[in-house]
Amino acid sequence: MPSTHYFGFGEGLFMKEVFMEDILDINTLFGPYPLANADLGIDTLLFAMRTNKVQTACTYSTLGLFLDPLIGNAATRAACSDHSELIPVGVLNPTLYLGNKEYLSGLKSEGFRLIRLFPTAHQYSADFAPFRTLVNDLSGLALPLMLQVVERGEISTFANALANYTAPIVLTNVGTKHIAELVAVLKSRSNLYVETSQLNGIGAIKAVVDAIGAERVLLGTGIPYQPTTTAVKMLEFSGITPEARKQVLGANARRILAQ
Amino acid sequence: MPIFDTHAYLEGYSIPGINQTADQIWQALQPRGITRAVLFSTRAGRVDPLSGNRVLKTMIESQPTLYAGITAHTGRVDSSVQAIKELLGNSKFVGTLVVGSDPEAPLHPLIADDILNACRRYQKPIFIYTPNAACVEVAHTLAKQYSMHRFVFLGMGGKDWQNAVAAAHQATNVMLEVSGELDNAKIPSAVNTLGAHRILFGSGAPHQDPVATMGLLAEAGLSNTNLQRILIENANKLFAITE
Repeated sequence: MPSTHYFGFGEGLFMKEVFMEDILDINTLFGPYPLANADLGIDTLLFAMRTNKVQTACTYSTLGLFLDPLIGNAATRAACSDHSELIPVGVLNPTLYLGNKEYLSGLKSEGFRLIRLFPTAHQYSADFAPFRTLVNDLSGLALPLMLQVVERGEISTFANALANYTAPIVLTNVGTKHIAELVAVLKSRSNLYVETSQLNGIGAIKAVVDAIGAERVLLGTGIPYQPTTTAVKMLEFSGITPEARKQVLGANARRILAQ
Repeated sequence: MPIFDTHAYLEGYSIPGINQTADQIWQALQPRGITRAVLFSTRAGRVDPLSGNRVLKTMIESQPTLYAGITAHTGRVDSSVQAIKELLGNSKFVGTLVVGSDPEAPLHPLIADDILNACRRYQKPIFIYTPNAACVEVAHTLAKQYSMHRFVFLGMGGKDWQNAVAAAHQATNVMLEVSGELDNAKIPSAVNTLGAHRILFGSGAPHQDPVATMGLLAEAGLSNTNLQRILIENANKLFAITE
């Protein structure tokens, strides 16, 4: 059951509903963020989680995205070892990958449960040879991947490039403009999922749930860069059933991270 | 607290049944706490300014809570100017959105000239969609050149919102509409730099759900006075709407 309280906007016209359910956020971050002109420290992330009853979050250091995965993953490892509510997510960049398989298996043995890839930010495409090498080297570890998509067509091309990857693959940064492509690709691939942080159009989450099933949709917020309230309100107004919402809020993520 | 959504669209959305009529979009906005909204015609922006804006006028006529902005296209100047002359005097039309062929690309200032001149006698604001720094740059140039107009930068520069804040800081006839990038830092920064009186609530619905933008405001740490300005008062004042 959700609990409801009022905040900020007065007189109850804008209510914040906090779901009293098991919430696992698949998409959080911490560290310096030049775009936000801010340092989104680990305390900021933890505060945002507490405020919105997010029990567990998959997180990565932005140093891995903007600077160097080795440095970022070390920062992630340190932060997550201090906070049991955080699940470490590794960032890998094929443009810097020279075939160090020991590093990849080391990530898994150190407790990293998900690997994030940022093709647009790191400027490579699905046919980039080091990307294919990296994915091939990862496939034996069966670590779930989380792949950022930006332009239309990328879901299709990366799904093709990852045709032999059997562990779960979570698509992130998917917006309303991608919905037709998303639905077409997810219907043909059972190990592909989508997270919600950019599914911000009216009716977008419901359209995806109706087309491919709630079990393929995971809560992602992008906190603390993005407001947690947005993700919570988007689900509140999504029009999906309470059972579907429960799956999206945490059950699906727990299932794929346990695989 | 009433909420005025200054940025919503009729037609042209990828999910059917959401905004094909004004009634549909209102059915989506109203449960989210929106009490008034400005609609723009996607048909006018993509196909024909005259027929698109006429359809919009017909659809909002019976809806007292809905207002319209004329959408004028720099590639269809004659049709756009005709729509402005025919409709902008109507009290339900609160301003003019100037668009080009590619919403992500900046306008060509020279060919916006006729449209902006046609709007002068109506004294209603000009809306420019600014999803990135390049669009902000051109919108800023236009705002300085046409200082007799008030300009609203829809989408607030997207990821480049700092450019939009800087542009509005330089051009006092610019207001920023807060949809676009969901970056927790942008509202506090804009309020600190410009003051809450220069900021308008808008969503870009249905492409962005109003509750997504409300989340930004809810976490911006604003006083109730400033929230009220952004959510309703600034829009009422800009569009000369009395309670």
